[in-house]
Amino acid sequence: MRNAVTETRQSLGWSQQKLADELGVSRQTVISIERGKFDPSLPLAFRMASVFGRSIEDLFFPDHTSR
Amino acid sequence: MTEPHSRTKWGRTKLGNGRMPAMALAAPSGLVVGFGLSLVAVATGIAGPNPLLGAAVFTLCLAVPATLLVWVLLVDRSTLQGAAERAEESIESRWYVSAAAGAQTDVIGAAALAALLISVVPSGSELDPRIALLGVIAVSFVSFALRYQVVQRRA
Repeated sequence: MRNAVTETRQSLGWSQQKLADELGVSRQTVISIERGKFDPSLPLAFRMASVFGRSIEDLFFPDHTSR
Repeated sequence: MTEPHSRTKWGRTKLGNGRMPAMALAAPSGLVVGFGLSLVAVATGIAGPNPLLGAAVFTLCLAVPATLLVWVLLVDRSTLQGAAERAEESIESRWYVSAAAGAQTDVIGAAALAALLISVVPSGSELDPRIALLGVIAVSFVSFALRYQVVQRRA
């Protein structure tokens, strides 16, 4: 699964640690999500969309779907 | 959410209506537990012929793990620096589960192999069960540690 977490985070001027604190997870979790090494749980994905003020579809998309 | 500035390296624990550093409670408690266990060791003769020396050595060796055990039980994670509020959703949790599952497989395999060897080797029945159990624990610890390192480096 691909995602637009890095671009969205950077557009808000947030650090990875800031995002991790907002989500209540470790910074390593954010790093791994941004690298596409870790697919977050559905509740975490929803929370991420909520803190960004976006929908899940704006942040995560399957590999076969073009953005 | 606990404010970052109220977080400390060793965290705090609730005591009555207030809070205090968790280690300030864990350290003396661990020392007491360690000393108590050393008295048991002396009473049962495990500590050797010199009770004073035996008690001192046992207290010294058991106080640190006992302190850490008490600390783990008492500390409020929300007061720890760098501790994620939702640890179960962090990637470290997935690493832990993956390493633990792999370690379990390794232990079963190692125990099966050891059982086979013991049954084949003529002097195998003379194996001290305490050594065998310590071996199982050692295999599980080493396997878990190595597997955790591997999955962490792959991430």
